[in-house]
Amino acid sequence: MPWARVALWAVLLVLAVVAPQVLGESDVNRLSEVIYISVAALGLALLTGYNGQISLGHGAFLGMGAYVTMILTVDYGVSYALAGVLAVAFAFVIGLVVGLPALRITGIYLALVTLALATLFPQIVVRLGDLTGATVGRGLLPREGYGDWATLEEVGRRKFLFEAGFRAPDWTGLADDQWRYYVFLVVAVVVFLLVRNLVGSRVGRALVAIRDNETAAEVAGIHVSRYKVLTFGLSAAIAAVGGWMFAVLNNQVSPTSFTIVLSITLLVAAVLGGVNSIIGPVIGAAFIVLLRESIPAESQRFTNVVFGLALIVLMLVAPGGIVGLYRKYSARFRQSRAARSAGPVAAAADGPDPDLAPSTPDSGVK
Amino acid sequence: MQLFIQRIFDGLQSGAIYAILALAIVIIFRASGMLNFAQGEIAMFTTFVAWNLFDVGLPWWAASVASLLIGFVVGAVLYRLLIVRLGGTHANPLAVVMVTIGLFLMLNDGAGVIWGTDAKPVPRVFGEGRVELFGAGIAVQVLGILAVLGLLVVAFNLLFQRTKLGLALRAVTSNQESAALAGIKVTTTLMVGWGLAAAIGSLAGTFTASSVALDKNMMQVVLIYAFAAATLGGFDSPLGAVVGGLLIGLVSELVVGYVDIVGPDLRLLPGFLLVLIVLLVRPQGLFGTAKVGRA
Repeated sequence: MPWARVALWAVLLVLAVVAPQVLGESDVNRLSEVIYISVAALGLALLTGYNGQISLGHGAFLGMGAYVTMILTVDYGVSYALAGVLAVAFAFVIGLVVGLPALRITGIYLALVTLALATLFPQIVVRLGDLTGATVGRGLLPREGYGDWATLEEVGRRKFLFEAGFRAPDWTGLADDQWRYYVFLVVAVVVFLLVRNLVGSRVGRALVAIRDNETAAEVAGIHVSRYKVLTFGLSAAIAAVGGWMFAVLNNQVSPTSFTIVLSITLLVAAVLGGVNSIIGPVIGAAFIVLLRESIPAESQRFTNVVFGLALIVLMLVAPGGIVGLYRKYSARFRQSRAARSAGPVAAAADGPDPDLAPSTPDSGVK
Repeated sequence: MQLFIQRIFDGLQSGAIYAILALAIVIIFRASGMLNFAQGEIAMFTTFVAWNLFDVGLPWWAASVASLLIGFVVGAVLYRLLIVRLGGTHANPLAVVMVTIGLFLMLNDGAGVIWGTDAKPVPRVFGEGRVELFGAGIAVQVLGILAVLGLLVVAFNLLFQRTKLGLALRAVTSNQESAALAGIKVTTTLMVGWGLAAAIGSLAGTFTASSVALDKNMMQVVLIYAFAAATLGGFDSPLGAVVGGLLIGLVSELVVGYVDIVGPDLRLLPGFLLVLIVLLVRPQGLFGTAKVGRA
């Protein structure tokens, strides 16, 4: 890893650690939002950017993560941590199941099938109303009072859980929102590191090989279908990590949060930043939250007009997203520097023109 | 029995609307290999323009026809200004998906900004009349929409098989480079293709508005059904789009009506299950042509 990139990550991390100490509660919650969107978008980037499978349905996996967390903590008194693990496992299994038809259904067809998943998800939630609270949704843990929980004992147990859950422990001296943010940050850093290592490993190279040419990958001895299904499951699981964060952050879940709009938002976050990069989803998520926040309340109805316009312009200018743009210009910069130091003759022989070379894997997705 | 026939006709009515939008999707897919996620929103937008004309005093049918023409212009302009820059058939599919989704967001919110978010009631295109058919009262509207669908299929076939423009469209579809070498103006032809698609789509828009109400979100579900219809029928087959649309309309209506576990909450499920099953057995859809290619 070049030092510039190490430095970039280090600066980002320092900023991320210091930020909640200087920002107010609502801003800290906005940052927590950036974290959960970027984690879910990372899952999508793994699937779309590295493995070439387009999904318009990852909002559904995020939703699954949130709902499983809610149901386990509220109805079964499971701790947040365990609920998170189980929610992720649940989404992993569902992701594998959805990934199975994805073996035969590829490209835009897959985009459509996952679109169907995204639109079906809120309907299924409403259908399972007893569990999910139907259209109204349910609170993760009540903000006040303990409502209809029957016995005093039960109330006590849940109260204990509530306090043991996302209340900041006393020793930290942090406010709840800060504590929540730091927990998210740690989880996100772990997820990002895992994905980074995965992508850089033999498995990651196999994923990219499948994306670029499935037949060639098969010939090279890669078990294509196994990798594709596993990637789908893994990507769904990562999205569910974001879902767990969503549930903890918002303290309530309702089907209106997990419509197709969320799926589109996740895809936009991944693509805006640069779909085949690790940092892309962070940039994309930050951009989305920033854009949403910077539009004043009275012109909220313009949000998607601005959003759509930004998306179109970016796709025309830089289909590789912001990271793609950076890669292109840094390659050009390195080349011109090399050209200056080596003289004009050597420069002409020095590699292909960045304009012609497929230096950014922009056109990777099939 | 009467209820059954009523449901069949309800299914056919919504099915015909899905089929019309699916036709629009198929035209674009055939011509340029792209999926237009904004197809429904373009239709919604032109329907709102038609509503403005209706508001000034034009009869609704005339406004619908006008929206057809506006749709043509909008589709052609969008292609010329945006889509052509993405690089034709070699375009990165993700970029195409993202640009059409960007359009989707812009048109949807834009319509809200321009026309407000309240649903607007719109008269029925074919009047309020009812006829007695097989012992059930059927709205003339249903028969009218089915008739338009039939006309579209005939016109579609004539256009593609009997006219020079149709020949050019087919040539561009089969191989853009060869078509260009043979002297066909590829960009112009595709512009016409996108215009035609948007025009047909705007028909689906006015029909949806006059079956339910005019609302900026009215086309989203229709678009999803239309995609399902096109997938079911095979993306490159107009006949498939029509059969797929009607089939999905019928299956949804009947399953929702008669199977209690599904019920109105899970309206979308039966159609999608049908599509999934067909795709697993025939990935190219019912009438689609299987792609033969080498890596």
